[in-house]
Amino acid sequence: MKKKLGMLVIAALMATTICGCSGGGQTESKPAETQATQKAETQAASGAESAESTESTGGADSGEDGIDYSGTITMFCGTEDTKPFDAVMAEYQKLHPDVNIEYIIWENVTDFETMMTNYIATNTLPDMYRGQVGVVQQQYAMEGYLLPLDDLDIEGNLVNGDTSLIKYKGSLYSFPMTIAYSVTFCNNDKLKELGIDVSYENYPRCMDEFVELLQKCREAGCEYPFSVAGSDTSSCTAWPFQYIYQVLYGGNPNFYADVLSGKANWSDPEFVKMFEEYDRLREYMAPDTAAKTTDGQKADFISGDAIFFSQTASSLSGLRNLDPDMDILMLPSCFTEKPEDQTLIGGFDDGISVTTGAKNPELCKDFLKFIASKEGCEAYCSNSACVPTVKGAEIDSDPAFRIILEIASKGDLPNSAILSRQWISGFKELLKTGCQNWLVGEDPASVVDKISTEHTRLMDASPDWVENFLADYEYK
Amino acid sequence: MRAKKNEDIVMNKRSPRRVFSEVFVTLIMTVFVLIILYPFIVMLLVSLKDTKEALVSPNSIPDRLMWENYLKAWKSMNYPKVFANTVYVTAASLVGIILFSGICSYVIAWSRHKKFYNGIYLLFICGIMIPFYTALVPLTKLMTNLHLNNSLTGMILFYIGRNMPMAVFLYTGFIRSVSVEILEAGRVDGADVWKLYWKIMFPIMKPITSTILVLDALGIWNDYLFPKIMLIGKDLRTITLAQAYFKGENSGMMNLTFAAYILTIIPVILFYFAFQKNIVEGVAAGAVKG
Amino acid sequence: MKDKLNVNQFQAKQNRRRAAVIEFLLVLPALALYFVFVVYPLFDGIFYSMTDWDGVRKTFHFIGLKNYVDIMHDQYVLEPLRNTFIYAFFNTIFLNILGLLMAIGAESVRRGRNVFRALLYIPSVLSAILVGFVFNFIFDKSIGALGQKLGIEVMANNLLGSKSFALAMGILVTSWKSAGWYMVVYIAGLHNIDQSLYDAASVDGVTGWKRFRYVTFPLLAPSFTINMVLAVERSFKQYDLIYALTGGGPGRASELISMTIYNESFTNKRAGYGTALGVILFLIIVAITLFQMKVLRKREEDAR
Repeated sequence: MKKKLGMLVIAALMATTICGCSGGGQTESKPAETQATQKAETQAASGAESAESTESTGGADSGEDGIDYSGTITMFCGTEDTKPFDAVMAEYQKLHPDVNIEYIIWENVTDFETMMTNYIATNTLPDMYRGQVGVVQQQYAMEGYLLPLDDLDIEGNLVNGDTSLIKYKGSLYSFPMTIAYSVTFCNNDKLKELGIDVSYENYPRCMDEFVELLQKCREAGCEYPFSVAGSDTSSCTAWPFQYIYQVLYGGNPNFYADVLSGKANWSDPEFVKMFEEYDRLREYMAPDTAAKTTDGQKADFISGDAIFFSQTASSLSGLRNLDPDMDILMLPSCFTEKPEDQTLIGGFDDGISVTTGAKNPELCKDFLKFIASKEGCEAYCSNSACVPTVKGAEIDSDPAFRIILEIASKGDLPNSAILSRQWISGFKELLKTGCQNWLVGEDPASVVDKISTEHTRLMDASPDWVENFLADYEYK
Repeated sequence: MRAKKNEDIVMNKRSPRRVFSEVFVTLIMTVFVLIILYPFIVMLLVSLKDTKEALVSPNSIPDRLMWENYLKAWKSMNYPKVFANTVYVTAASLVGIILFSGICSYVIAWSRHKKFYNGIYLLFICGIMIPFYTALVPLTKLMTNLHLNNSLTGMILFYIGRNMPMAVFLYTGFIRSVSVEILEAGRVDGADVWKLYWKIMFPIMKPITSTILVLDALGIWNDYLFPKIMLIGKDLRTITLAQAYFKGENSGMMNLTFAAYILTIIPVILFYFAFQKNIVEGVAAGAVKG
Repeated sequence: MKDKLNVNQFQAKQNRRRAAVIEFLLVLPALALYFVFVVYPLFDGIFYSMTDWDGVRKTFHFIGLKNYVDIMHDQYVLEPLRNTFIYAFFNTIFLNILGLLMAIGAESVRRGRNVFRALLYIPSVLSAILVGFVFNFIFDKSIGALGQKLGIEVMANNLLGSKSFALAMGILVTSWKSAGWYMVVYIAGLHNIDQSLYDAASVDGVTGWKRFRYVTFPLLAPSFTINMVLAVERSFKQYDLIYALTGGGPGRASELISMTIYNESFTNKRAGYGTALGVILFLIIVAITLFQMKVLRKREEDAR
């Protein structure tokens, strides 16, 4: 009898627990609903507002249209973005003194995606985020996690460029803050010390010339001139990504789409070739490359133990924090076989978006509108050592940009747009693992085989993503 | 006094071989201690350098002692807030664990409905071995559904639940070993379960309570993955999160990072030295009982 | 008269019932929290492990045991699983040998016994994540520099960057962090040994290694059992330290199964699969612990 009673109590308890939880499930759907209604309201409201603000001149003086914003904006961004955002916020506070900004920091791209997944799963998206353009914007827009920015009327502020990656179904979902160049960083102080001259006239134009330059450095006394932080996702994949944009996409701009549709494969010879080319640089990397951290890489670069590394131009501000006066040069990537194929890899980057989780979407949008204005962009870019994207914004660009900007302004090299940064989730981690395997001595064929099988694994896991990618893809 | 004298005599009687072996043991133990202390020394040295020096030549004695690094680290990580959060979570969880598991174990051990509570006891015991990772995503979902994510209260409730099995196990074992007479005496006086527990049982259980406190306090204080998944707001960060994020947020500044690390380990080490005896005894007792 | 008795009986019965309810109410908070935060997620996890859920979307398909079947021949999982077994195996051996050595050492030192014990235990109070980060730095800067000076090539090139050493270094760092904990348990065990047994042994002329082998060690059996069981269990649950130390790299040479579960669940968006892995981890821990208990308890009894 007692036993039965006990069983009954346990059963009842479990039932209440489960009910409690499914009750939770019901409440969970509520915020989504309110969010949706809120979104509709937002759109209506901001539609009205933008109608209003078209009468005023728009741009920076949006604060003068009488709306008093207050509150704190939570910004999800990278380590080096806090300084520029602080600068923009300082300007914004002149219009709206009660607004503050708070940061959540991602350490690298994988961390960014993982944390976003986590936020989406727990329904706690930060108000705004700054991420690499094109990585996930379209996917998030499709799944309804981003607010469209069309009503802010800021697209016209942008200088000419490819906006396809920040748009979804014709609407703008992200405003790019900078033009990011993917470059080869170069410690010019050390080069001068070694008696090697690199300038606009004689920068390397192809892989052979680059290897020649590395060899020259070695002969002049720098044993390992090229550096890679093998333990860091972004650093050890920076070179492969530059190679993919410059060489692989140079040969077949639709390579990734072909991989996803089964027409191409990571184990194809053109991708194996990448690791063979990377092998030529391997000789010029320190033996402890596989375990090097980004800090270690910075140390090597600043102390002159290494002279070159591949990264996006945004890494400059991190180096400037450590040594403001160093003579740094950025060279266009030069990994093609022939000099005439060389391109300048660059495109809109540092996209800022407002999420559907924004607690005060009006404020966030207004702030974004301010960032996208001439003043905002100048404040941002002069604190991040970046090239601005807003028409008319003028900043004293860092001398490290001198060669790149000259090439860009003269149009010497065709632009290799960052055609698609959209990869299946988990791909960057997978490429990192591949690169690390290669760094510790695995041969290119087997590295590529592993990448290929694991990529298939990821594709099997998210067939919907593959389907959507191919459906929206425009073949070049 | 006499024992001491005895020892002295023994000392004098020592053969050279024994003296040698003792010196040898002391030497080896000193080497062990040096290995243990080495990372602390590295942290201290690096934390006092300037950024460039910390990166380029980390192994030397600092050129100039930069004590201001500690001030910067203190501000940058918002130390008081982080510390307060961690203390709050740890303390509240511990109070919850002791409060709920103690009385629960008492009922389990002494109730007349033996079979029923034995069943419940077994249910608890099964929970000891469940790894946190098994239910990573379901737990995330559950916390979200209950609106307990991104909140310290949610963390506390979870910690209480998760540490319940071990605490019930230890308490029940202890209570069962307490002699019956003590409680029977109370029962005759007509005290009810509640009074009996707080007046008589709880004071007796002091040693095992301190074991549980010691075992769970460090576990909660040093937990990393759960807060990493649960806490998003910067002002909710716990010490382990601050440690992990500091490195990323001050990328390249190993001097500040290590200054922050030293700041974060000072409270734990002070706590350890203050309660060293209880901690060591608690660990030993907990292990032997487990 | 009879009625009164009945009333009394009734009251007694009611009192008993009330007492039973109160008792249950006292157990309830503990039980409820335990069920909500431990048991329910576990069952939920078992359910999701049979789906292809991505962890975010509201829709998923029920696919039965497919995840479990896939795991059996998935290189992506088997490598970390192998690493975890290696890690657990060597950790258990190292921690116990070091813990025992340190315990005996700390007990044999005549002066400063408490100081030694206190200092050796310190790393156990630190967070694993901090220990991992600090050692990452030390391997890079200090040990590398030492290796260069000594001219040992493997060491000069940062051991964490080598496929064959990364996991081994993880084991060493774990030993650094946790050996003190095991030492304390062994010290408690040593204190429990009756001094008269030692006296008897020395009368028989049994000293040194022999005394350890035939007197001390068998009597340490309970401490040994508990340390073995806990070392294995903790190794299987390890995440923080190796994550901070090597991040699982280079390649996946030092990735533990807990990291795979996390990556699969959040980075690769395969929550169903990740949860299936979690369930398997749970089963492995239960199986090994039960096995160990059986073998070691038997040994304990044999020793008596």
